[in-house]
Amino acid sequence: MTAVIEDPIVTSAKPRSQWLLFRRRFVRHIAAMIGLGTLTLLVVVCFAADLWVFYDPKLTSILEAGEGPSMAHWFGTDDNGRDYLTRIAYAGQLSLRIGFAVAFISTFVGASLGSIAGWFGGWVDELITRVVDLFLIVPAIVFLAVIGRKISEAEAFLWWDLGDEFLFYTIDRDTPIIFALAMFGWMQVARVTRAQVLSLKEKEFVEAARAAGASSTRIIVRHILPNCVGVLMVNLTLSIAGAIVAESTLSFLGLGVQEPQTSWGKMIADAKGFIGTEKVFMLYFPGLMLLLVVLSVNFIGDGLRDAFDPRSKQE
Amino acid sequence: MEPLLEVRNLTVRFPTDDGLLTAVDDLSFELFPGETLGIVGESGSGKSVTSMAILGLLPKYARIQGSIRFRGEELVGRVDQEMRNLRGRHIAMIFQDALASLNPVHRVGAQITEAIAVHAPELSDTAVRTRGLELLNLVGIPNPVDRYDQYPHEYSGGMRQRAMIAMSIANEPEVLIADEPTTALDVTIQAQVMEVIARIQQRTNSSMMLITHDLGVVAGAADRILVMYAGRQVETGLVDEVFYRPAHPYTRGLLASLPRLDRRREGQRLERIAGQPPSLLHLPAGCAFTPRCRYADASGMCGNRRPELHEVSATHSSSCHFADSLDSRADAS
Repeated sequence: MTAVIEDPIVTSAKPRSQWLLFRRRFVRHIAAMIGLGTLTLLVVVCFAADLWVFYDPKLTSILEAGEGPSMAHWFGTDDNGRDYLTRIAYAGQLSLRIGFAVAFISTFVGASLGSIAGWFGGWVDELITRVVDLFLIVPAIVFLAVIGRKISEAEAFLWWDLGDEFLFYTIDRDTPIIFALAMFGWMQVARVTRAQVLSLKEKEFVEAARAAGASSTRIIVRHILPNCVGVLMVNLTLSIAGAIVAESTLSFLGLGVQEPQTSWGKMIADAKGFIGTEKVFMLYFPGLMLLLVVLSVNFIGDGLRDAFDPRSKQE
Repeated sequence: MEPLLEVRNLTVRFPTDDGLLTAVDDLSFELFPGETLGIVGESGSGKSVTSMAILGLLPKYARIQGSIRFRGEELVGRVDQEMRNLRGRHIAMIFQDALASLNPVHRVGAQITEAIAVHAPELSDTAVRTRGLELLNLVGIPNPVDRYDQYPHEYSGGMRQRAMIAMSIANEPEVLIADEPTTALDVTIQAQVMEVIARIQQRTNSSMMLITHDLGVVAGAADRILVMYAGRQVETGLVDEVFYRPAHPYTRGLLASLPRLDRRREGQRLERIAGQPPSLLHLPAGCAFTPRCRYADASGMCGNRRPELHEVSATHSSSCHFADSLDSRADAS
């Protein structure tokens, strides 16, 4: 190094937080804030259900079956006389957990495989692309139906013998559903990431980073993936919504969660017989919950994408 | 004097669907400590491929022959890991398009210090930052403290190019390869950027390969010139020799086609070199410039025999069969 420049302004500077700017931009995104508020409220209400519900979610009461909303039962009761609000809360625990878990797993798997395929190219790319194609052409619903059937048949699923807990995660009967859904949820992310990486790796800043002596790993992690954040974020939010809906589809077909457990999707499925009757509200409540979550998550995704993008107009 | 960088008979070929493309053909030159070598040629003449070969950044399918020695050590055939230690520390590159060469999602400060972070991971964040601010100051960016944390899109074109320069000199490399550093800039900024480069070169005493198609830039900044055509070396010499006594028809053509304000007459058109550069897939057997050459010999010598490098003077050589007799031939034709 040559002579040190004795400039007080230069030498007294302290690093400024990148996080601060990001947070400020995110907080100013009104739609995202509303989404975050709604989602947080839903999560808290559902997961703290044990603290506030007045009814046992499994307690049936023939005398109160199929009642409309009232002071005693805010959302009414289902056809077995169980408090509908209580059911919604417990169902939400399952739907939200499945939605988030599936979205994160499939985004992680998809982004990893996609960036590997795009960056290394050649036979690695060929292999991963073929696997993606394979998963895309297999009719997921058939495959999921088989898995769903297996779950409902066997209490102890093959790998489940290793116990009820793995690391900090309690293995429930819905864990196989999560993995089954993630198994068919990662391909889109992989494709999108691969395409992004393919175009990004030709950029001159990648060449410049290589000329500065950076390794492949460093270039992928520091230069390529940060440029994919926007796309990944949108995909993540979409797949949260997608996973909740996909789980509903499974439950609707009677292949997802089983009684006495329930999810929003299953509640919708159970209420499908009431379309056209005065008890159609049974369809509305879980449907409304689904709508709220999907919208909130999409708004949050919007906000995150804008906040991550340094070129966005907001300061 | 011992050359810092020595390129001997470098040939780079790329397999394509239409056959083997020869991008650089039997190129030899050396770069001495502290000097600036201007490499001039039109697009596709192999200038950038040569610099990429030196950095070891050519794609894997490129076929490289010959030798590139840096401080006496062979670079051709080295594995990526070894080249990585060299890049950005001993040999660095200033890229052409500064906007494209800066990552839009990272702050400029983080990018100009990347080479430091890569090669000296033990340095603290504060030390890296201090060095980054120094670099920004050195290349003449006002308010380094504020500018350090800005993104590339918040910089003007000239400032981006300065930031690129700062990025490449971060580790004070011995060899600086500037690939058309001023092409994307307007003339005023060009002059400023060239001035910054000259200042930095003086300060760090590094050698520079200045790749450009702008003869004006070379005239002002280089000590020696290497003219390339169709991947081959056409003429090399001190700046004055090449500019005032060009010994190759191509160089003559280039110099004649420069717009001149002092000799402009009404209705007079700009001189040009007739024809197109040859396809690199099918190079003529002899001199690659033959089809466009005003001096080409009718006997077929130019078209059939590849010219050797003729020494015009101790420092000046030209690969033309008639390097010594161009003037008389011009009169004859």
